[in-house]
Amino acid sequence: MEEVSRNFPQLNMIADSIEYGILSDESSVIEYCDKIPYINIQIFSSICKLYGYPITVICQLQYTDKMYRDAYYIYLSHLHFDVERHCQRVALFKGKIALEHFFDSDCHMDLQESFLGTIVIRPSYNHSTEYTLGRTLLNPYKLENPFRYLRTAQYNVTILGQTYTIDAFPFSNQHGDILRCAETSVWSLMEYYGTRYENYRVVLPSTISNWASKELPERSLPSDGLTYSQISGLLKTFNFEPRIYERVAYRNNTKMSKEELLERVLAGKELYKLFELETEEEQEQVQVSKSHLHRTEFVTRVEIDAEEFAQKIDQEIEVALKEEYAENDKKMKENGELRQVSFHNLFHYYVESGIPLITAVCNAREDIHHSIVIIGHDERSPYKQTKENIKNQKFKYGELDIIDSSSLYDRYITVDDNQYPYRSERFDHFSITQNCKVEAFIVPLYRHILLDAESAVSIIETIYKNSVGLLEATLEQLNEEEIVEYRGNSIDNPIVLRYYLTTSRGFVDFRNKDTQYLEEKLFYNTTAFPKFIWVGEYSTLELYCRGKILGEIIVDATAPKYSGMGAVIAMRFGGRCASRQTGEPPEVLQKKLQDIHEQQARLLYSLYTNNLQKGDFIK
Amino acid sequence: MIKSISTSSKAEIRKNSTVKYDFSQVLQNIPDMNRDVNKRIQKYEECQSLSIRRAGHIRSR
Repeated sequence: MEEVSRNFPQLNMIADSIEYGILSDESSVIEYCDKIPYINIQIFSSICKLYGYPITVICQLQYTDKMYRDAYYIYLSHLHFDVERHCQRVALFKGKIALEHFFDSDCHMDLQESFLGTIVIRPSYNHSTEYTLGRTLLNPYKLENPFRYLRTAQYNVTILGQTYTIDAFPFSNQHGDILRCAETSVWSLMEYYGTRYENYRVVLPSTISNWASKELPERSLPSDGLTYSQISGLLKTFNFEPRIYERVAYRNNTKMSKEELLERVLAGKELYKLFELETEEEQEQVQVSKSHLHRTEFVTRVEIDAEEFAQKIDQEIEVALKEEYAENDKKMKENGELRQVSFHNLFHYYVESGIPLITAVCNAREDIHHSIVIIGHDERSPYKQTKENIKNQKFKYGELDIIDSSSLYDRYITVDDNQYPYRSERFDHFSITQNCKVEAFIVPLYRHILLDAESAVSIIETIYKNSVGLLEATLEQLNEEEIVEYRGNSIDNPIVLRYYLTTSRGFVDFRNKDTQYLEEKLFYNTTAFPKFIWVGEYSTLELYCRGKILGEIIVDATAPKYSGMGAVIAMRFGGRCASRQTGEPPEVLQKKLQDIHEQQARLLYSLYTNNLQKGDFIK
Repeated sequence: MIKSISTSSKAEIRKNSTVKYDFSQVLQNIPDMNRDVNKRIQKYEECQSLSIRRAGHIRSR
């Protein structure tokens, strides 16, 4: 500021309302933060580190934030002691930028390029700096190690009279009294949807609080959070038709309750061995407690660390569940049935569909219940592509080894109001403590989507299961054409099935841009599509990793649940494709495919990437 | 405009494969396939949590 003032003394005028600084390392962050009330140095410094120094910061010291101001008038203004009405807003720009450049319109393009985002710092009642991040918009694509598969909306912000745009997923720390994690997740989701799509509107804390006041049996302020059924109910009032997927329910599908599983675990194990209890006295105490099937009972009698105990029991339950699933799978295979998709498969299909998921997580002891938003996935996990993992995850249709693309991923991008935005966390290791499993997730579906993931996958996979010969023919053609070196179908190179929901507009647009061939363009452009479609692509692992696929089946996502083959719109196998118009029965697809004499499309084409827009599979 | 769009003049598409595609197996028996799919969907319906399950959610088909 002083240096700038020497050249432009007039700029001293803004010194009372603006705090300008250049952060070149951690010590300069500490020095700068001293001047900004309520800023959390640790969190701010972590964010700066993610973008890399140097960073130029402009802080508006008296900023009116609509989210905070709304919360102020419904709650904070009623309190006895004064709470400030104004926030601070920090804008971050990459590099060292002189203050006068912010007033020079010729520099605007360069500044736009350097713009990283804004962070609102809100006052706190108890003058603590914990959880003081308000409405925060940070660009995830400009991180030093940027995330690539996630959803963002575009925002406009005005800083020192110039308007900048930013791609971000909105974030805020939970307030505690006004918005707990559940309500913050809903706010964040609606801030995204309301900004990106015209069918939705952004919401303020008062909207959520008013709903809670009418719908909940208890007082709405201070907030005590929401159950996931309540979150779903709240989303319905904002024009969504959500689906709730609850893990316990999927466990129930094994026909065993958690208690039964625990009993089974204990029956098959000598529990004292788990805890290396050596004296007879200790062992006897465990045996006595066994009948109670109550964790705390064990803990108090044998003085085992409660957390350790819970973790060990959960590990044992997981093993029992895996055995149970394996048994079920075996039975299904023997009966020639389709595989049963798992809770994680379903979770991944919706993430792959680019739908932000409100996810309820809890720890093993079930004393932490938290809500986060999942906005995308991270890169494929190397350990998920090992032979061993593929061997465990693969299934067979005919002689073909097949895996689900979701088996290759286990890290997801979270927006967690207890941390800072954009964290890559392992599935079932969520939250700041990294020990929380997914209890349930809520999919905010558009109101005309009637076909859910499990129904769509059942339809598509029934076709693949009955068309193994066609999948094999595609692989044979791949080998014959020598476009790529084909390594055969095996555990090293299984068929990969990938499922996602998307808009037909985005899909047709992508397929058109992907090809220069008239026949391919005509195929997609002359087919009548509904607003939403489910797509099941197939590829080989090697091609999938290079962003290429061999075929796809397209299904109407607005079709009724029990529509079966009646929902199928189009199919593409090895450069041969057919679709049906709205008046045609599904049988017509077979006839159209049989009548094909010449291949109309390429054998290899691009994996669809429009859902998680800035993916790596760019042509 | 049309000039900028290729038809199948390039080897990438034109190369007619000698591989035999037997499309007779696609959607060969739609009633059976529908039965399989519906059975599967009913199985998923059983997965709906007790806390959110509603009466009449399982239909006999």
